[in-house]
Amino acid sequence: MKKKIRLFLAIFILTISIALLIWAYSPNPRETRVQSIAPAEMQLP
Amino acid sequence: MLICASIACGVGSSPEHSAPLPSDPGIEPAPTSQPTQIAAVPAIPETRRLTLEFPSKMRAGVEADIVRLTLEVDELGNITPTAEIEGNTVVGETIEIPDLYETHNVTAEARLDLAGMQVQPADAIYEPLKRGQSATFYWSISPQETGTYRGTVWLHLNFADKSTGEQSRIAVSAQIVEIEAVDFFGLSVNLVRTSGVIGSIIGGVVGFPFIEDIIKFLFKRRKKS
Repeated sequence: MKKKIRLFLAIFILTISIALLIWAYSPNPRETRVQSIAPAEMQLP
Repeated sequence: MLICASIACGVGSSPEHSAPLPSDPGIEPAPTSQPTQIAAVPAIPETRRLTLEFPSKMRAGVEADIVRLTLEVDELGNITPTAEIEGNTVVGETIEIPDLYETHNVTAEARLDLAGMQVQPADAIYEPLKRGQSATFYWSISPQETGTYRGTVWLHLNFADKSTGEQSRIAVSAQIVEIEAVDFFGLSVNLVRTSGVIGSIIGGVVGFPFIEDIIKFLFKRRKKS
């Protein structure tokens, strides 16, 4: 019985800790926008 | 065939015979390959592509991220629009644009306005723009508190006349960015990282005596299957 509780506790702590580490070290989602600029938009005012 | 015959006979010199009538059966229209030339205001004779890359969501408190703005030459960008219809190449109007690079020094100016967030560099960044070359701008941003930050990425072009030194400036792009800074249910990122490392060590120590049992259990299941 004691062995089972200890095993459950170990798995529980490890799961929570790994979830925290994944959240804390995962790369940020990035957004990319591409816009085409024609020569007419880059002329003298 | 009819066109060749008419040219050989010298009939094609009159304007009414130079182009085939659309109602004539079996005569293909001659390809229009001579573009019209129109004078225009001096401009940069390249189509360029502006790419903005930024984190839409990031962790508040400790970390910084990068915002990147690239103004590169669009290799697919055609100044002369060209279309091909059933083998006939139709070239659109060629606008003869005086080359700005020859008469002016062109400088790209970029600025990131992001209220409430630490931005490095905070001022405008300048980079000379040369023919065929890209210009890339980087900013380091770090939100100290959670929330949604809105701002604008500006791109201007500065022109300095090589002969007179006259300066002029145009706005090319103003893009609105929105960045969300988050934490872990009110816990700071540092605390979450520390908890994760400590928890992994404790979990490993608590579970260590059972590693043998777990391995045996897994091997037994494999043998059965």
